[in-house]
Amino acid sequence: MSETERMAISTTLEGVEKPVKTVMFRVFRFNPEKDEKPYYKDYEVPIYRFTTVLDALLYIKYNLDPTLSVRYSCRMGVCGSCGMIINGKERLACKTIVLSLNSNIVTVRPLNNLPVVRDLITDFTPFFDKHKQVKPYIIRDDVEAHYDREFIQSMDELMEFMMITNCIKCGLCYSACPTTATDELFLGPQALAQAYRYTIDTRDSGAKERFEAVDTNHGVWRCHFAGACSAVCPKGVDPAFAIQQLKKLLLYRRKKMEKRAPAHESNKPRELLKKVEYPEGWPEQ
Amino acid sequence: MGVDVMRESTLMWLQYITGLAILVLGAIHFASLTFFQVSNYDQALLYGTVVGRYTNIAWASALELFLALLSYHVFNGFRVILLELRQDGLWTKAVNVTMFLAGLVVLLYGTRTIALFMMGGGA
Ligand code: HEM
Ligand code: SF4
Ligand code: FES
Repeated sequence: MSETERMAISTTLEGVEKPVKTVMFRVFRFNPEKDEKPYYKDYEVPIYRFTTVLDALLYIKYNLDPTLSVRYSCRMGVCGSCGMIINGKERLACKTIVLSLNSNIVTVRPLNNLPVVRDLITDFTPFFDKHKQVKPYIIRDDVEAHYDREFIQSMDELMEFMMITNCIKCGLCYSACPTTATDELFLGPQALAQAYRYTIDTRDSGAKERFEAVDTNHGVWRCHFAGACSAVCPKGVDPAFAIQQLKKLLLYRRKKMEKRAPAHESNKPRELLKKVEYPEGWPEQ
Repeated sequence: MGVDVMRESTLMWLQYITGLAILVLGAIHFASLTFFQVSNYDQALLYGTVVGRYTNIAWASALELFLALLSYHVFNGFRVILLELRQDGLWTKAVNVTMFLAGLVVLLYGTRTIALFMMGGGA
C-alpha cells in the first residue's frame, strides 16, 4: 500500500492506525488438569475500529498470556468454531466487533449446555451426536445409481428449506435453548431444524426414518417455542420456525410425507460432468 | 404401559386439543355458576342446588367430559414437565407409568362423585 493510500484510509476511517480505546476483557479460565474450579481473569486490550473479539483474544494469547485456549479457524463467520458467550449473549467471536458491544468491560465465557474442555473451548460431541441422530442427508434408494444426473427441484421447492441450509453447526442455538439446559437428551434446535430441512427436501424420501428419530420423549415435542435459538443464530437460520413446521408435518402430513416419492432425476447428464475426462477403466456412463 | 404405546405426537396432539377444550368448557362452567345463574349467586353452592344441578343429565355429562379432558391434560402436562427435569431410563418409565395411573385414579374417583350426586347425592 502506498503512503497516499494509507493516508486516505486513516483520514476517512478513524481508529484504524491508532487504538480507539482500551477494553477490559474478563475471560473465563479453566484447566481441568490444574484448576479445581473455573475463574475469570482480566486482560487489558487495545481496541482498534475493526478489532473483533477473536482478534482481542488472540492479542491476549500472543502478548499477555499464552496459556489461553481458544478455538477458531476461518476468522470469517463460516466455520462455526469460535462460538462463545460474549457479554451474556451467544455470538461468534470472529464476527463480533468489540466497539459494537458498546462496553468497556467485555465478559467472555464458553457456550452453555456443552462440557468445557479448557477455557473457552467446549466439547461438541453431544451436539454432533444429536445432529447424526436425525439423519441429516438425502435418503433415497437410488442415490448411487446415476451420479452424473441432478434430481429435478423447482426454485419454490428449494426456497422451502434454503434458509436452513445456511447452518454452520456453531452450536450457538444449542447453548441458548432453555430446554437443552434442563433436558440433556433433547435433540436441540440445530438437529431438529436439520430434520425438517431434509424431510421437506423434495429429493428426499427418508421421512419415516427421520420421524422415528424426532417423534420421541425427548424429541421435537420438547420444544416450547421460546425462540432463543433463532434470536442468536449468526447465519439467519430460524430453527424455532423450522421446529414448528416439523411438528406440523408430524400432525397433518405424516402419511403423505412418509409415502412421498422423491423427485425424479434429470434425463440429461450434468453439464459440468460431460467435460470431465474419466480415468481409464472408469465405467461407461 | 398405556402411554408408552402411543406416539409422542399423538399424546401432544391430545394435549393441545384438550387444552383448548378445557378452556372452553371451563369458561362455560364458570359462567353457569355466575352470570347464567338464575337464582342468586350466594345460593349457587347450597347443597340442594348442587344436587339439583347434578341430577340434570346435561350438566352431569358436561362435568364428566370436563373431568376426563382435565385429567388427561393435567397429567400428561406433568409428565412432560417431569421428563424434562431428569433423564434416565428408569425415571422416564416411572414418570410415564405414574402419571398414567394418577390420571386414571383422578378420573375414576371424580366419576364416582359425579355418579353418586347424579343419583341424588350421598349421605
Ligand atoms: C396443572 C395443570 C396443567 C398442567 C400441568 C398443564 C400442562 C400443559 C403443558 C405441558 C402443555 C404443553 C405446552 C408445550 O408443549 O409447550 C400445555 C398446553 C396447553 N394447556 Fe395446559 N396445563 C394445565 C392446565 C391447563 C388449564 C387449566 C388450561 C385451560 C384453562 C390449559 C390450557 C392449555 C392450552 C390451551 C394448551 C396449548 C397451548 C400451548 O401449548 O401452549 N392448561 N399444558
Ligand atoms: S442453526 Fe444457527 S445457531 Fe444453530 S448451529 Fe446452525 S448456524 Fe449455529
Ligand atoms: S473462526 Fe470460523 S466462524 Fe469464527
